[in-house]
Amino acid sequence: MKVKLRNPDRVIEVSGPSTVAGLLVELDIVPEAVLVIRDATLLTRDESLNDTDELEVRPVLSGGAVDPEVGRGRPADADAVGPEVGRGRPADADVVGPEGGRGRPADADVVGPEVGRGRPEDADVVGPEVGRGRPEDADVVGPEGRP
Amino acid sequence: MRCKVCRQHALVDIRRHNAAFCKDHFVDHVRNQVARAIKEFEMFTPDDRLLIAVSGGKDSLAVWDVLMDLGYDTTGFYLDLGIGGYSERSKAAAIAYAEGRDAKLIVRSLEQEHGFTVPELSRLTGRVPCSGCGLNKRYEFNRAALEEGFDVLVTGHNLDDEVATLFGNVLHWNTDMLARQAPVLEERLLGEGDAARTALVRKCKPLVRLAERETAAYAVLRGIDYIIEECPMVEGNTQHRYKEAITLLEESSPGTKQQMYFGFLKKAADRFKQDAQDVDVVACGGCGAPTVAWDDGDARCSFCNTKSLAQRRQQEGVPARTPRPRKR
Repeated sequence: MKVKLRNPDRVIEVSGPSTVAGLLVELDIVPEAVLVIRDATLLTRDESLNDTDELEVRPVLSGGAVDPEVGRGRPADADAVGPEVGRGRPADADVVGPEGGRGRPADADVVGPEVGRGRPEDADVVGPEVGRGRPEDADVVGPEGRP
Repeated sequence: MRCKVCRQHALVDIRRHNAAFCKDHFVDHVRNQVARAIKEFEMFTPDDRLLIAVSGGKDSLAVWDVLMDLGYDTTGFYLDLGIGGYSERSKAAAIAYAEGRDAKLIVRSLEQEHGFTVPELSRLTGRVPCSGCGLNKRYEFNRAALEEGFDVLVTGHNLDDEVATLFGNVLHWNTDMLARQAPVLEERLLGEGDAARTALVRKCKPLVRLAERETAAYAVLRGIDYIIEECPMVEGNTQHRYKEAITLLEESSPGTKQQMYFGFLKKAADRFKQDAQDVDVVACGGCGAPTVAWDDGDARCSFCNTKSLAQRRQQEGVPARTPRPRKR
């Protein structure tokens, strides 16, 4: 099948995968980061594919200017990327990541091994139970007023 | 997969909701999520005049599309940042959409308004392109809303945008910024009594209940011809890297993004409010926009400082600084 990829645009030939999920595994693409389109229609992960298909794998994650609420009330440095202009602050390396460029290893106290080891508060944040086995949350899921 | 509503063939699956939808019910889902965010966070009413910040991308066109269909009084605003062919194509997408829906669109050019483009600003000041871009957009969006008499500025920030910002602010414990991260940023007045004036227009993000993949799916299913290409200056952008990391977590644990953001709003956001209240905000001596009163007595906003620096370098022929390279 022909698969169109974006940024930059190119078309590759892929053979073998029989489902959208299989195709994305073969291309090493995270399914949550893309839409798969065939004949101007979206495909879910379980959709079957044929060797004659022409598909587009379209990325959905955009990046760029930082969020406008960052620094609200401080237009001077409203950008999280840092007001290096005229403020004498070091460049935005501390926003880009404290570990990188500062010679400090990640702080074991902050990202340490206790995370995910049975502490309820941690499990609540990143734990495997997120989205697993919970009944569909009525106030999270779906259109209001629908069953 | 089958649509959770009608059991017909599904086109979009949303794992964190453990649901899938056909085209019609997915569009309903998006509209309902937007309507719910507007109601939950008391964003605006049908009587308000909304200025929609439009980039030509999927999120801004999607939020404009939904708000029009929900019956709100909307006008689009496109700011030409002068990023070569990318800006030309994104402007064309915004104009084409507006014409197709017979919607009002205001177009302004950064170069015409201030004499420089985002790439020029970066070259002249050494400022990281995305930083300069964000600064200019915030400033111009607010200025346009005030000048044109709009009640609310609407942006297309979605759940992924909010989580990436939250992630970055937590990584660096930017507590004052955490205090200001919310789906609604209230109007800010300067002055007192009869002299009080709106300095920052109310700002709302109706897409906070929708992941980026959902807004993209909505745009495709609605036939919105948005600009797909990435801004050429975004290479190595920090926000983008955060999104990639968070998306990996979401893939393995669906619901992580929603839990992080709405958990923050519910359980943590108020704890940072004090940091924001400690900031002394005054009118910028250059343009009147709100800014921080610094200890050194300087009260010029970052936009004026940056613009002055760029103009000075242009006039004096000072060699332009080279922006620091970013690593991916």
